[in-house]
Amino acid sequence: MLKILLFILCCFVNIAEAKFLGAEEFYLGNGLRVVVVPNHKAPVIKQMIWYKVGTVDEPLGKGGIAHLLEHLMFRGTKKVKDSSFNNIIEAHGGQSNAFTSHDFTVYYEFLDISRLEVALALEADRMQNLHISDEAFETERKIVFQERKQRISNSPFARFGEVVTKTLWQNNPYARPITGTEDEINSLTKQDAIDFYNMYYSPDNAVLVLAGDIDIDTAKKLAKKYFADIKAKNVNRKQPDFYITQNTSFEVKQQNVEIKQVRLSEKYVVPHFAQNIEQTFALMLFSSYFGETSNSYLKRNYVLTNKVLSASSYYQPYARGQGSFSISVVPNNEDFDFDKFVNKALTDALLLFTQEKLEDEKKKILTSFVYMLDNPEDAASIVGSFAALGFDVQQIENYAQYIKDVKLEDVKKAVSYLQNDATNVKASLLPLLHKGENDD
Amino acid sequence: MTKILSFISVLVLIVLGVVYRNSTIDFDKIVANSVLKEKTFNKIAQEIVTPKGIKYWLIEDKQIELIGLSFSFDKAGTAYDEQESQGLSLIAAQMLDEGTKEYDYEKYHNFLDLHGVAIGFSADKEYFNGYITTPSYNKMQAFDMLDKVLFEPRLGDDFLSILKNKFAVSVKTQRETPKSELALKFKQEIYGNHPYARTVETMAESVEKLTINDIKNFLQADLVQNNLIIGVAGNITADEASKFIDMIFAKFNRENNKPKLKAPKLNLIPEITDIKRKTAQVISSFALKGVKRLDADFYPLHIANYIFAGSGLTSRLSLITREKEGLTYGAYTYLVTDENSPLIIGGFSLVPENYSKMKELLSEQMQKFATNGATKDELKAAKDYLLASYNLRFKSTLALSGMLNEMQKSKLGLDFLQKRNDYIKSVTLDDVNKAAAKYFAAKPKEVRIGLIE
Repeated sequence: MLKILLFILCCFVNIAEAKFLGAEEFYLGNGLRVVVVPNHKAPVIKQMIWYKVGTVDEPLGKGGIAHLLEHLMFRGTKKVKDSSFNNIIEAHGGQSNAFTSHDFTVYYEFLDISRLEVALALEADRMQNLHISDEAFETERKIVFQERKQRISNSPFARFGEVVTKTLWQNNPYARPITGTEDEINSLTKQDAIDFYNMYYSPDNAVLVLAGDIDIDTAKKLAKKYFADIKAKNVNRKQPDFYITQNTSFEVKQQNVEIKQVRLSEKYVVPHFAQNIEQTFALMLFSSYFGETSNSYLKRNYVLTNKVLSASSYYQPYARGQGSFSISVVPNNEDFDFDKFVNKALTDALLLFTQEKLEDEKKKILTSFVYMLDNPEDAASIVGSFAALGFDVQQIENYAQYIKDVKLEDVKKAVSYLQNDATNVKASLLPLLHKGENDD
Repeated sequence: MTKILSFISVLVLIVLGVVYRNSTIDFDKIVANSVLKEKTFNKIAQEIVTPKGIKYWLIEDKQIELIGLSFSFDKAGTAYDEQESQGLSLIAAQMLDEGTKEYDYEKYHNFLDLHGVAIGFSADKEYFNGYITTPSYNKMQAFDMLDKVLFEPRLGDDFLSILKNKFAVSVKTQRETPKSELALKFKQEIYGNHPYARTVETMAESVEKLTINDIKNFLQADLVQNNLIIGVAGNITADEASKFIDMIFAKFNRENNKPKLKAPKLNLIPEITDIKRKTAQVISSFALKGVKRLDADFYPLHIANYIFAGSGLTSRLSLITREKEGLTYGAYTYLVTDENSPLIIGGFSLVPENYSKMKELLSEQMQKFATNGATKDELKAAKDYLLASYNLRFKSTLALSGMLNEMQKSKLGLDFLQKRNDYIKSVTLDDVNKAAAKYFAAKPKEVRIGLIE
């Protein structure tokens, strides 16, 4: 009897689904949302603060201000002068950085649990007390200019990527380069940065994430201690005009002497979480099957049969506006028919994507969840991006259910949308061969 | 009178306000009074010897339902490939991804994905490396599959020809970005004709000729027990881990008599090598003599380098060239402490107009550092960081297996984790200044791209 019971128990453990992240949340009176992911394996913690503002919120002509402000946040407050933010984090063994995307501006610190209050005090301080000197502003603008030169201008792929993005999104704010253009960077003023800060940096427009060796009660106490007195600015913004309604196909081709191998891609504007949650999860599963794993349809049917050198797909639904889906190919020969390939691959893959394959794909994703419980830095990023998009903790923890609920019918709809209704751009980056190509 | 009074009170308020607003935050007090106290990571690294005599290091952690195992074979990396079969170790690593005799590519990868298992192989200069991660409740099937991949690999001709095509393209695309072109040249300049200088370009010809037999021979002759290093972490006991390790790794041949490579003669002659190419920014990489990991100078230089340009935005070089002058998005140095190639490597990227100013500041700062050394405050800041960041290395249990592996490669000793903070604490200002004088006085060897007169 005991044996049977043990057997049942152990089977139960085997098939029991692990929790997704085990996240919990609460709000402060000023609107600050706090999400906590306890993970007690090691005495460390990742703190992130997600401001729900990014490149898409920039006023016209002020391109790059969200990103420049992110840099300026390390340049001093009324209480923490000049660059001493970095020195204080360093003295407490912390690692700190920030990034700006089209949708969000995110600051983070990774440190020993005993030093968490240092990071809390610093983030709370710069949420309300930013104070930048004219000199620091000018220097930081020069640094951002060099950053753009390094990341974009010095890479043929990044330069082409900007052209493709601009073509696909046209006048939509997602067309903008996150750094701003060179001219924009040079024309930004300190007042522009202050205006942007005053408008959007407020507890009611932010999510604080704490992932690591902490429990919910301590997190509550500490979040209150440092953030509760910050006044909300009642950020009441008009969302940018995100949606592309016309169904248009664009084509971009660039020849470049630096490029030695043809690269082809097609990128589509597709629905995201807030617009159509069923189709978002459906497309997520299809993309995983179609081109995202080492065992994908494209890999097995095109790469391993020597038809192309590489082929993959990528779905990016984590946006406040619309998401994007792309297919990328490195062809074997110059006269590869990309149009035909895209249509045939999508159609054939969908035909083979049976209920059984769909269930397998679900199982693969669900099986991988156990890995989320390892590294608190990963957990912080995942929970932060969902929370910033407006998911509550129940919805985030319910991730598995969204996956399970996907129906074959939703997948078919999502792929049909890609093939028939989605605005898209076809991009070809090609070698340009001519004499003396290295000295021009 | 009331007017005056209220005037005074306003004044007082303003003054108070100013004082209040200008008051700084006492971070040390915050830490001292924090409800969150210091803790030590309490899982101990153990050295285990299996019944069949294989040694490995383990950190057991039951708080997670995952297991990670990393292994490396010394003298089986790219620098150890024969001259006429360069690239063999790289291609062999990729060939193992095809699956087993029983499980073809599709079945093999399907199995891995459905069980949440990851298995992968790679080759660096010195080592042939592999890893497996698995949920602990799937460990039997997972280790069984690792066994099959290593001892009954599929090794198909078609798969080999696909890998060769892919390799040929990577040769073509090696120089597409200025950064990758610079990296190739830098390697050649520093290592000369030594096998460390090998790149996909030098391997191209021999990779084209590789056969399945070459790969079989490599797997059999070069992956041997006495060159093996293993690290295990996660939800597994020593008994279980030993059982799996004996089941798999005891099947490798005991030993081979491959000699250790001779160290390269590092070219650190302070000359500049230019790559002519029109780019938006000049990129520069430079190198100086460094130290081996077990050298007595290691900790002093580790801290000296941290102060000079290793710490990110707070380093001397960053403060002057980035934070003050805005010349570049980043300037850095780091240590390579390999047994055979101890180096200090540095780099920066900036528009051509800023280059000469940058070089001027760099050599000025190096001279100043070599002559006057660091300040007390700088040493304290460096030590504070290095000591307080100690626990960050334990963030991912799976990553611990790799860390145990690296510790063995560097011969750090099992007690390194307990002793590391004492090593840091014992470094004096005099030690740091001696290291600064010894290693930062030289002029660097530099390779740069994009500076066209």
